[in-house]
Amino acid sequence: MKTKNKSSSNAIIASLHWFSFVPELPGKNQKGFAKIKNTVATLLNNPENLTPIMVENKDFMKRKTHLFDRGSWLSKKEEVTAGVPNTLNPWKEEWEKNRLGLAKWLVSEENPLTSRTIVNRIWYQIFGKGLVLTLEDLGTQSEPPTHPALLDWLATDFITSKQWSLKAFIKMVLLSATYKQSSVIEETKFAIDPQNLYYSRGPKLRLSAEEIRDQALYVSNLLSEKKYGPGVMPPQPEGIWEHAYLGNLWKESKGEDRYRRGIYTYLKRTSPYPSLISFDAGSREVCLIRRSPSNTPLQALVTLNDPVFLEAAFQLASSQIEEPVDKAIQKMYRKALYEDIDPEALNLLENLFNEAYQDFDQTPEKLQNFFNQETAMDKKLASLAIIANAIMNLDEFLTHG
Amino acid sequence: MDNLKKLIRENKELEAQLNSRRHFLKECTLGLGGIALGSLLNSCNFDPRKAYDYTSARALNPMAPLAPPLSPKVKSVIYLHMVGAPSQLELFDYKPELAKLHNKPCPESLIEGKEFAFIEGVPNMLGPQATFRKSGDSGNWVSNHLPHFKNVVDEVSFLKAVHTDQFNHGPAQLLMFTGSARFGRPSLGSWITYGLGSENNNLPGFVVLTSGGTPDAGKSLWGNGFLPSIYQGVHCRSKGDPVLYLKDPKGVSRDLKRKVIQSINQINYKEYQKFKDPEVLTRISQYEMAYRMQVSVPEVMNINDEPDYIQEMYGVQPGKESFANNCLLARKMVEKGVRFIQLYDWGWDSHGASESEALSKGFLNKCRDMDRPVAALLLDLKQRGLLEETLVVWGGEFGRTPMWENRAGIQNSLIGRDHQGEAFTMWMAGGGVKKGYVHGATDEIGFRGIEGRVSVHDIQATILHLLGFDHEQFTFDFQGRPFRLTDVEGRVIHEILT
Repeated sequence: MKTKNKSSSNAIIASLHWFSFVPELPGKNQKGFAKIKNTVATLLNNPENLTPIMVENKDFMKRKTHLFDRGSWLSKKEEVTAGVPNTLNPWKEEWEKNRLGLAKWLVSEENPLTSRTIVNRIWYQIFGKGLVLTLEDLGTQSEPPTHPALLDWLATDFITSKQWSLKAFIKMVLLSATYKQSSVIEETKFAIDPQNLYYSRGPKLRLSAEEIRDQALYVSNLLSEKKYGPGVMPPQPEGIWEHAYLGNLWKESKGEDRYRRGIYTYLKRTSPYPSLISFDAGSREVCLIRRSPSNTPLQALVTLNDPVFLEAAFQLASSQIEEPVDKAIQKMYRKALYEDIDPEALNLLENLFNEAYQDFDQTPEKLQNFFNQETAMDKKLASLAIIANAIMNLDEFLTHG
Repeated sequence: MDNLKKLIRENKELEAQLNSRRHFLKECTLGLGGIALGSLLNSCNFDPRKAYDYTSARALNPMAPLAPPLSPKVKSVIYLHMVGAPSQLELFDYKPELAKLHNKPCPESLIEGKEFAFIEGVPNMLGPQATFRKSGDSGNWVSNHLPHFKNVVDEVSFLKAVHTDQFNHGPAQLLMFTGSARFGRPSLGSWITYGLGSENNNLPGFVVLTSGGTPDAGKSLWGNGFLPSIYQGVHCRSKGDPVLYLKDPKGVSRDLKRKVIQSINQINYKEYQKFKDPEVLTRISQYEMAYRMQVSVPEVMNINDEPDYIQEMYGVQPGKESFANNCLLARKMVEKGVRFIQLYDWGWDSHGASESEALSKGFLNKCRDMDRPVAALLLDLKQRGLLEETLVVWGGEFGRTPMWENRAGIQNSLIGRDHQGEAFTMWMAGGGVKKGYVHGATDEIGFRGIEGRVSVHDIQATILHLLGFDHEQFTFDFQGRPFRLTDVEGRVIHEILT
């Protein structure tokens, strides 16, 4: 607050009262009251960027909660107070009747549900399925655990020896013999256990929507490492955000904001980002703990034709333009897939390069605006970009394990 | 479900999955030596009638056609939704008594305790802004705004007393298409493609076509909610790529694209030989399908190849985005085996607050643009013998008041009506639906349903019934309980069924 004007500072405090229901500042008649009041007002009106913190309502602000007669909010019945379900661990007398108490109840050693839920969800992220398949429900209506003893051991170990450390837990699972198995599927085992419920092989999973985007940007050196801040609007096709009343509000981000990680992409529930939704990201209308990975032609169209992926392919190709063709293909492959290309695949991609090169040789006008790029293009660069685009569509690129 | 049933179901699922995967491995890899761009999935001879199973067995081809559990009357649905809520009082629900009350104050007893979107205080009544005539052999009422529709009135069953509990566009649309006024449930088309798959591998199973603008509730109206995302509606657009990312990049010819996909698939096949993961085979076939879609979608979206008399009949406007074009596209898609085609035509919110929203102006244009193609669609389906296996539904998210809207208590300068959920008209036509029939009636001024009232969930139950589903049995387990389209309500409207 810049002004010393008493009446205006009072007005602001009055409005603050209205907004936040702060009780009257005490000590009105004591010495120094005006100064303290001023400091409070200055603090509350701090023009700097602040991080809002949620605080629990004061007792006098808490609302009363009633049962509704047959669900009708118009006819209230008896007042109810906060509590925990009887079927779960009991609430200890000494716990505060607030969020701190709830936290203590949640992580109490007598409550196995919290750590079971956490280890089950991480297990799902690593193996593609939970030990209880229904991640969102570990109750009487859920699927029974495939490995109840393991689940309990992991949950107990997580609390005791791991001291709730996610990092330590993840490390243990990744170093386990179960995870380190090869994901090659043996026909005999597949016949007995197609879903790999016995974990006789390692997982092979498709990457998530955000990972697929981030990976393409990363291997082409486009990915921005900028953290935090508001969501960004990377390129998306025209007309996606056309709103009946408001028009198109998608203002394409400039500079490195175009290449931020997928989690920074602006989300509008009624108009989700198309390439993410194609890869099962969900539109955030409901809490989706378990995404069901699909495998559709629309996904192929995204990674083959979406300008974001074309630009990534073009950049990957540009980085190897000085190399001879076979070296360039080998290096792009290695960068994208973290392993050396085998001779057969190299041969296939070299052939594809030659086909593309011939095509551009015969009709050089195709190089104009090739892959929507404005920079000048030569036959070799364009042909390498075709190869990069193909590499970024390989099953191995889209999956891990 | 009791434990025994659950065990049996699980065992069947396991068996079905095993069979289909083995089958897939055995049958489908044979021709793969050179991986010609053949149609991999079609060569597999999945028998859709064998396994009635929505979960594991379909993992490899989630859009494979499935037979519904009960005997169906129709194979596909065309749903024509007039976004904004068209006035039933100017189209189908003839109320001569209302004319007598024109411009007289609304009796207070009618509006006491009622909530409206815009009406405040005491509005005047508004007589019908149309003349009506008994049409067809059925002698059902149709307004003079729909001259073409009169010729097909004997094909449809009217529902004159539909009601909804939502009076704002977004929530009412969500309720109509997802069974819940709040975000997050799967849409009607998603449920249907989830339950039935699709008969055409080269086109999406659930297509959405829009004209005039995007509906208020946005893409949630064709969202998959908690169903697998493959069952979401695909918005085929009139501008830009008809399906997103369908067009090849600049400088890439069809021929080169084919070679790109061949190379990808050959390397992927080597990957399959190494890991034996059937998902890789699925990916190979999806890339082939993507390549085919790039041809088949623009093909089906192209109306120029239709003969002149058909174009004339619908009143299409090639190259533009129009409801007439979309009606013709809907017929083409039904012909190609698309399961669910959803049309949204924006601009029916006739409040009378502006010219485009006035019953005397914009509304008449909307009627003209809707009347001809809808009549043409029914006739065209009929002449091709498709109407008997297709269900056509027409409606809005709610209806309109018999009062002249008085926004903020002052009568709107142009003629218009406010939102009304209590009673409005919809109709259905096609397989299994009575022809030239009326179900339900409203009071003398069209304010309340007095007979044969049906809810939004009843409409949904009826659509599912015609496709061969019991809406109470057709569920999906999510967050610890089974969900269904009709929530805990819905009754099949047997009165309009043959």
